[in-house]
Amino acid sequence: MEKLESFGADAALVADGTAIRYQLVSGQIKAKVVLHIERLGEAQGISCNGAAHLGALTNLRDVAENADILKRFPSVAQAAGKCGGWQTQSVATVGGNVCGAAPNADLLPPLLVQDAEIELTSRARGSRTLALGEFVLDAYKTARAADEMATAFLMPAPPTRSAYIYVRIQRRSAMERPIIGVALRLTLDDSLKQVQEVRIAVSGAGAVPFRASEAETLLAGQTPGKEAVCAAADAILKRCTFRTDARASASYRAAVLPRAFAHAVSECATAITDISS
Amino acid sequence: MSHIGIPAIRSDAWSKVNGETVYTYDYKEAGMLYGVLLRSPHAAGKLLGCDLSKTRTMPGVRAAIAAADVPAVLAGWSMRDTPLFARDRVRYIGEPIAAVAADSLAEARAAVAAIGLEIEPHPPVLDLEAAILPGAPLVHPEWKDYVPAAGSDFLRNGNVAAECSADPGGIDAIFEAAALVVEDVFTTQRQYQAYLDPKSAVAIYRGGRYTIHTGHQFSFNVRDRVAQFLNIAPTDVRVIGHPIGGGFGGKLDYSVEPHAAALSKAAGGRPVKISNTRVEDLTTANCREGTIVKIRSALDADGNILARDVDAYMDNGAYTGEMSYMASFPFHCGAINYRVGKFRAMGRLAYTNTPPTGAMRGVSGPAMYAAPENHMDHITLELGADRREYRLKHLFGNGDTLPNGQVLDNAEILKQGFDAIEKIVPWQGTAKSRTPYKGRGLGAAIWLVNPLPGSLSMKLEEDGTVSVVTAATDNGSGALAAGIPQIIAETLGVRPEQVRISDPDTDTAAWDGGSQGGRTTQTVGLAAIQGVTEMRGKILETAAQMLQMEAGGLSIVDGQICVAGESKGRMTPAEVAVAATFGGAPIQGSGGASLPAVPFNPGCANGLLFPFFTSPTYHVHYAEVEVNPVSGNVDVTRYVVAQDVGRVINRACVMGQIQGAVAQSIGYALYESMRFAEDGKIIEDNLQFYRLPLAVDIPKVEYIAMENDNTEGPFGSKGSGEAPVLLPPAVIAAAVADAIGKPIRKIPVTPEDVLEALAGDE
Amino acid sequence: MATTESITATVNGRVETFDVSGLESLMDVLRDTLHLSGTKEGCREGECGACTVLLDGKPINSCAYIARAAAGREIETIEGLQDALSLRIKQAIVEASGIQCGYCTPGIVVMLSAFLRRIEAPDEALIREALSGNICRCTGYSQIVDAVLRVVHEGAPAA
Repeated sequence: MEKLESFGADAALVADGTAIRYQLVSGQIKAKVVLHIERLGEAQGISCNGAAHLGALTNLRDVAENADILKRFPSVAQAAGKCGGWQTQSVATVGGNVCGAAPNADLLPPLLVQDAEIELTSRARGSRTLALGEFVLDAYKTARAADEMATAFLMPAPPTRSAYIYVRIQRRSAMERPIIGVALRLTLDDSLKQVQEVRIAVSGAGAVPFRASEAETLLAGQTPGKEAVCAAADAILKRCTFRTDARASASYRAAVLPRAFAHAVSECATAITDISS
Repeated sequence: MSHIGIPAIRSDAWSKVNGETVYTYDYKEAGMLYGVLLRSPHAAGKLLGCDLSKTRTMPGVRAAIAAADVPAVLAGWSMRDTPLFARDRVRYIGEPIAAVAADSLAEARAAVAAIGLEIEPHPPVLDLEAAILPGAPLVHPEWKDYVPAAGSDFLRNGNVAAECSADPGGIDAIFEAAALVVEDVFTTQRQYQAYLDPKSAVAIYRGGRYTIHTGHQFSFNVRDRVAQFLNIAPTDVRVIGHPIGGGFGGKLDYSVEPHAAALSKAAGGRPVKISNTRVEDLTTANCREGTIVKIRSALDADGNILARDVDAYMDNGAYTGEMSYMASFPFHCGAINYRVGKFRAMGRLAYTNTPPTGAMRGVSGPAMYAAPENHMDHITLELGADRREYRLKHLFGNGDTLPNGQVLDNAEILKQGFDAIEKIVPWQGTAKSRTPYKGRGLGAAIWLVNPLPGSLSMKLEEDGTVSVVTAATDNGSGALAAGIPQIIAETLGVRPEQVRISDPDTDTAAWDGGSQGGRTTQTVGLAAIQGVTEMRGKILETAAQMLQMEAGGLSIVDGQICVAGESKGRMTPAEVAVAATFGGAPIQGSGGASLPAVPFNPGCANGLLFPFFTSPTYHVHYAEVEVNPVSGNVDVTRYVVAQDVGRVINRACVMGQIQGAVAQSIGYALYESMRFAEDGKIIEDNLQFYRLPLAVDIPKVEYIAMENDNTEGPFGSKGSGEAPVLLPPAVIAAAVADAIGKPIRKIPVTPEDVLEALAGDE
Repeated sequence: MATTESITATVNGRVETFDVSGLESLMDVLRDTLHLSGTKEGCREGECGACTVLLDGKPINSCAYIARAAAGREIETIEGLQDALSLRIKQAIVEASGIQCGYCTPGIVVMLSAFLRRIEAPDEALIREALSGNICRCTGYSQIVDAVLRVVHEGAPAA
């Protein structure tokens, strides 16, 4: 923490050995100093007692295989297990993925729908927590101060009658960065017929992954049928900007997003009724 | 105990699994320098200047060369159109302009980055159809002055690098009178061989000769190309082959060897290593060419095809290499498998300002089968006919001919293939019983074994083992690690583990046509039988003298020299070897073989550089796919291959070839993509975007070996490594079209294509 | 300007001291400084897995890992994998004909050693998922998967 304080913005925090080495070598990320924080024990580990505490330096592979996360926050485990191959997941960290703030960062959508908070620590000011939605400011830009390090992610206990999914649109079945990501947390009411509450997070459709709050409001209290879902999808689309790049065209992204969303709702609704029956 | 047909363990398996194998990428020489190429950043333009004066004095630099420092000749496999370094013109992004050799890689790279380069860029020629229109800017304005590498000149003109056409006359009249005309346009993109071991070479100039160390498929071809570029005799070049980390056709021609050789000479004979980075390798590779295939059929009222017309455009890239032979394939494959009446064909290779294309497993075959097989499906749709029944109705049988007039004596094996697959996966019914988003595809192919000659020589060691010298290469197929030792063991009466095979060396081995077209086990196998026969004769003669018997009464069985009628052996080949070596001459044998030419009609086409299919092989493939209606992704859920292999020498190796080839071709059909931006840059320029299929993407292939003895192969075998790559794009595109009820007319079939087709309904 | 530092790490069970420079990758140090060329270079971008080694028992792409951070750690490369489980994996791959050109093989053996140490009885789907960070262009994977299933079904507990 001392070193971080003294080097400040000149430093790059590296926890792993994946994409970031190339970004440093190529100059994509400029840093005079690299602080390798892979083995800082305090920021590792997962504890789950209703709510979850995820150390920021926990490897994605550990997240993907953690029994508690798989049970209570399955889409977070799912996202971690899809991020590159196992070699990448062995050293990549939750903190690295979130603080990298790529427009299609895998961990962000599932964490956003869980109302996750990020804990940032500095030597001068100690720890503070921030809602994840306020942490990611722009593509590759976050609210982390130069002398701060991400130390943990906190997720409150999720409501009952809920299901989660992370739909990841990708060409091959592994080793792909997502073209579009849709994370959903659906909570049904007592009758199991109507939406009590829904959380929707989208990535790959703008500079930062975002919560589609208008769509969330539209779906609340509705039966999750075709009409309501379409209306919600339209609301999501209004917030999206789609790019054409080497991975996919803008028109494909625009076409696949509403389908991915509808699929997510339908899968979640089925899952809740299945569990409850 | 027979050594034929068993899954013998490869001789190189343990060293590979232990990480001991030294590939060229690992190879080092003492005092080695690192060479780096300066490559053109523009796809087309005038090269105004390349200033090396400062470069030569930079830290660590031992040599810096460009066009002015090498002979002003043009080289090339079939057409001499290629300079070693660009002279006054650049023709593709990545074309070598200069080269630097330095003490370290970092110093070489820094020196290359500092070279003063001046290029006046021109708009690149990228579109195939536009390239061959009259008035199109010429990629090679001096094309008329070019000469072929050997033999007489062939059909070419301006941006048409090579052309093959056939027109029997009367075709237009048949189309005009037809009851039904069906037309399609099919496009395919390039495919990168993507061997995991990028291209590299180490060259040493010493004693007036060049020695090249390279993991290569065709050592004698590299030798010839280096000799062409440096304007020296081929025997002034020695190529020493090393274990190859995959080639798939991409390592049949030269890549960095001549540049490394020229650098070594310029550096006073220091060894120079040039290694492509992956990005460099991908963006300059001699890929399988992209194509546009226009195909039409004229049918009568009963649904018989009376005439077929094929017009194919193939992307040559900036330089020809061996591509001129490929112009023959639209002709060979446009009217194959099924009777289609009169046939007119045009195949044209267009020069473009893109990296030169070349051979990849199956060459032009995947495209040239995808088009007519999907066209057949279209025809059946128009006729309301069943895809399988219609194919069987018009299928080639024994005695039918290819478009070149070649008679197919055992084309009935095709029907065997359809029947064999039917037993495992009954075709059952018509399109009406299709399950939503699940589809099937079925297709056939006829292929060949590359006929180039092969040779080897062998000696019997004093311990009874056999050492073989050959320039043949094991591309990974197991041809030399298993197949040839099994053939030698079976013929000589020893065990495969007692046979060792050298790495290629053009100084000590006689000519071999390289690892391509499934030829090695078949051709070099025939040569091996000759060599063994010669050795066995000498062994038995020597043994006869030692035993004071007639040689005719002796044989070699399971490592023992036996007298007829006796159950116990009298002596071992080792004892005979010692006696022969110190009593007269060591026991040696040699052999050379090629596949016999096939009778065909020489007047069948103009520009037919690739005339016939030697040792024809027969193939039927079946694919099932499931389309994800949310994303448009396609999953291949089942894949069945019926393949004519003559006779299986090594069951496990044949399975590996089929599984591996189908995997590569599923990659071509669904995941791999190579597109060009307007400035000529490749969009998918690294492995993140050039998507190679992974373990989760490829099903286990079910394989039915059709064994019908082949008189032209050792123990009845036929080359089997190349052909399984031909049909997956055809049957997968057909299966996707079946799944979504919409036509698919391109390779790759992407989720974008699928969603676009589905969106038409919504 | 890249600084050079001398570090110490355990490589294949042996304590080694060697120089690392700047952001040099672990792969380059293993191949060029320690002369362990069994770890292969395939892409330099962490996409192909040919450079897989074990770092404190975890499989990583050594081309993407900063060598300097390996100080004080335990590294295992293909040359060092001689334990009973690794030998069974190698034997099974050899016998199932899961090798053609062999360039991807060391990375795959290293990956599988880590995988089967961690998960004793995976099913085929999980095996294919674990292998997805290793590209093989020759075999089409099925004979390699068969080899792993053979090791799993042989029943003896992972060493």
